[in-house]
Amino acid sequence: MKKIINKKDQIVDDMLNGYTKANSDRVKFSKNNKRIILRSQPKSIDKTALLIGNGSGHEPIAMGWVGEGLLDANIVGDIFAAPSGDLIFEGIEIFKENSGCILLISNHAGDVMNGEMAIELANDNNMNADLLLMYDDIASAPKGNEDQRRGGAGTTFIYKILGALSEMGEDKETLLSLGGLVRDQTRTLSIAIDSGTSPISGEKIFHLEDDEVFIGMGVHGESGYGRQKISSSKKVVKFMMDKIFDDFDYKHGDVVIPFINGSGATTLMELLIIYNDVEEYLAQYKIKCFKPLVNEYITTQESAGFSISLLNSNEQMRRLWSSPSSAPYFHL
Amino acid sequence: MHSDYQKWILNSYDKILSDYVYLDKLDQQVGDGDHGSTILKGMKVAKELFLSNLDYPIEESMAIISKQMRIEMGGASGILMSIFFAESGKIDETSLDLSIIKIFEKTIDKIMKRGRVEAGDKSILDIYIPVLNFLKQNTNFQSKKEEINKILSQSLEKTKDMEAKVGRAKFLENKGVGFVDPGAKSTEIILRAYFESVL
Repeated sequence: MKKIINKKDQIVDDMLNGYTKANSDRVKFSKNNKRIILRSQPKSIDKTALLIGNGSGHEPIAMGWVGEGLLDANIVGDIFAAPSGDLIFEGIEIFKENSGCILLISNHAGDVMNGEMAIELANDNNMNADLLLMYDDIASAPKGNEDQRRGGAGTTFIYKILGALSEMGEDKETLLSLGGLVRDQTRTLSIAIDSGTSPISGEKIFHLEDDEVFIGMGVHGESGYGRQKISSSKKVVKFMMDKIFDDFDYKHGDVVIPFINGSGATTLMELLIIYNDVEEYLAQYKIKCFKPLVNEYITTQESAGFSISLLNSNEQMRRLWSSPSSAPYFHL
Repeated sequence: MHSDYQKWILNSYDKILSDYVYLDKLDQQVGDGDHGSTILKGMKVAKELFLSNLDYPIEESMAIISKQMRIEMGGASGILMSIFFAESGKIDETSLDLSIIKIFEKTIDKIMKRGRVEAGDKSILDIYIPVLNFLKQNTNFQSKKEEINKILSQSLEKTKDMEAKVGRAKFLENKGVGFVDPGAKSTEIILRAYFESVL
């Protein structure tokens, strides 16, 4: 393994120390726990707080999106492992004075179990907290079983749109309902080109031949539609967009927000070529693109690959998507 | 009971310490390759907390251990594997066999609810359930140690042919078929040490 780290069991703590120092004008540690990242300027308590718990190793998500107009807190687990329900609850408790609290959980087994436990603890303590389960990866379960799909890069739309709406003082129920709508209007499909290395085991997470790609692979190397020979961006994008269009009923005149996410070692050059092909694919169906996000945000170490996420948007979603945010690593 | 439980926890720790690299390798086939390191972290906490809380009643001590294992391990394995440790604190020396059955029943019930997992899904349940079934059909467990060990080995071996229906392995091309479940393997190690020490 070729990574510049110190001790393996200090990777996450070292990283979080660096992150909070580098962005001390915008984020800070919770007073009692250095696995909880908070905004330097907390949101006023009449507003609903948004939190996410997730495993690390996927930076800049989710700590990089703690900031005004986005998330209020990130509870950080070990590499590729969800934080415990106890720790997530500790994060929720920080917001016990707020009018409400929403825990966003990307649909992966460990995240869901620990998230549900945290919400049970919060409700036992008479807190107004709810869980919003996020899923969007069409390769992980068939149409009709959407709620069994994994959470992928498209969960970004929920973070940003709810982050902006919560800043306007909307109540928890309104936020949950828009969050559910955004989720239901989002589709994501990913492709792996080469595996990253787990900093814990020092080994590749999965194996692909030099001329192979894997369509539909999850962020930890979980399988989807299977292996293919590598080909041009246009061909790969067409294959992926055809799958997305099979899964969701797009119409002429729709306005989608595209998110082309690189998984850690995909060049911006490639991501922009891919975006160009996505835009052309959509244009032939007279579907417009609105303020796309193109960069590496949800990564798995130095994995090569990318995902295409589309949110079929309405006017309110677009307004909230493009509203300002101070989160250190969210740049629209 | 304290000395039996101390033996259990120390032996489990030693065995996991000598096997964790193998467990990591096993997890590379079906997960992200860190199950051995994760359970070693959990057992290290269990050992340290047990030794520093020797004056506590066993139930209290095991509850503290279970919570801290969950926190240190995180993920699905932390929340599910810590359940047995909390339940095991409800051991009753005056009615040993019956209390062990209750411990297994409670553990299985909680794992099923928290993990939404069932028998045959290729998980730690596929170790607990066959053991419970054996215990319920037998009496005088002390004389059945050999048979319990056999059930543990056989149950672990059976997870090899199962298709994973939960966790990361369910999304793999081969659904983990051909490999024993890493969590089932570490559970087998811990339960083997449990019966060895307690019976």
